[in-house]
Amino acid sequence: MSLKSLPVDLNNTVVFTTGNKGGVGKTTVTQGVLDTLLLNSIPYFVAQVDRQDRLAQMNQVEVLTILSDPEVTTIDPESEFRRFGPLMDLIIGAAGQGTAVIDLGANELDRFCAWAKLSDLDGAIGDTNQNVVALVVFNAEEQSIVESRKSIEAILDALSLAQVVLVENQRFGRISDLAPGSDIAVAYERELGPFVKRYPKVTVPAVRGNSYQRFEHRRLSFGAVAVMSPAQIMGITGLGMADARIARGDIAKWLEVVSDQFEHLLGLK
Amino acid sequence: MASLTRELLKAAADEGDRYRAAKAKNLAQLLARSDLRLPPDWERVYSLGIAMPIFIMELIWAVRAEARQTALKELSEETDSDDQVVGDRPTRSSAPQEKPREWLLRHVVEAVCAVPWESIPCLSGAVVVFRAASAGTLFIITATVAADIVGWMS
Repeated sequence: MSLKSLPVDLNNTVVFTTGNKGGVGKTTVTQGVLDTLLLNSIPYFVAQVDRQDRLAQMNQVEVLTILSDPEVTTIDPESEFRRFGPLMDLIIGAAGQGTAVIDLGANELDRFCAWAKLSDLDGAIGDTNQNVVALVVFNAEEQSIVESRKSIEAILDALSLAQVVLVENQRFGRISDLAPGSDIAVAYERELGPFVKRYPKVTVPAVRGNSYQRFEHRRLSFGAVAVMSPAQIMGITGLGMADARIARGDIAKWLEVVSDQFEHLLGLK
Repeated sequence: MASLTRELLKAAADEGDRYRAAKAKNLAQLLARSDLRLPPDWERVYSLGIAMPIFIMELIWAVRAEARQTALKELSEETDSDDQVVGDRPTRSSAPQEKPREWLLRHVVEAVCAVPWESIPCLSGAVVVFRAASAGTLFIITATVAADIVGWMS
């Protein structure tokens, strides 16, 4: 495994997942990180800033959910302080206790960064010596690539201590499969080329046979599906015994591959 | 529910792989077996059994009509050469001014409808169309079933 490990202490780390474009798989990646931490018995604290509260439904732990208001079009400092205030408590409260994992939903990064600068989140994290990891998620879409470049710049502007990690979600295709002269390949080189050389990159494969789709609407995490009995899976999905085992195997395999990468990245291996 | 461990994850992944491989193998075996034992489409065989004799009969009728036509033509030529009766109308087929298109039409109608060209004015148009349509349909059925038989044999 050529993935370079980050110098982080997972009992004193904050992980942000961002991408600033909807549907790139930020919550999927966040869930992959949470399952990896669970697998390694690392305590974690979770927050989700989004229009939906999937993480709260998927995990058995308490999740701080800050719901977006789609009507809001301007950044009002007072309301941002009110909204993100609990996030500061969660981040500082996690210092020395475990890993704080924060999923920043689509179009929330600008507001979060504005709040982080106003409230000197960088300084507060510096005081607690917490490590900051920013997982920037993108897929093989031009807009997602452009947005991820903007996200890297925004997060580094707000959190100077952040260690950026590029996360390619391959659910809808792989960047490496693109024709060299195609629009997306050119955009990838142009927007993320310099960052790919500088920061580590994690690749999240597609779940084989699209098997997770059968569990997604049930708000079940990958880890939860992997430990279910075939009978439970049959009851939930209506699959036969063999197909239930195959579906569970697909998800377990995915989690094995993803957690393996995150374990290398976070120095657990 | 069991707690998530690396061993459990690996066991579930391996088991999924085993079941996927077994399923693929079973499916391949099933397909191979079903391909060999696939019974003929009996409905088509029955329709062939009905269509074939009718089609053969139509052919026989067509050949007979052609023979009759030839005999009539020869007879007519003999009559013409001997003494042509005034007012006697020569048959269409023996008319010296018959053009290639008319000749072709006559032969096609006689072969498909299995009726002599001369008798067509006596038959209603509906009968001619019906015989032509039934002959065409029978031909299509026979060709389809024959293609099926070739498919079963290959």
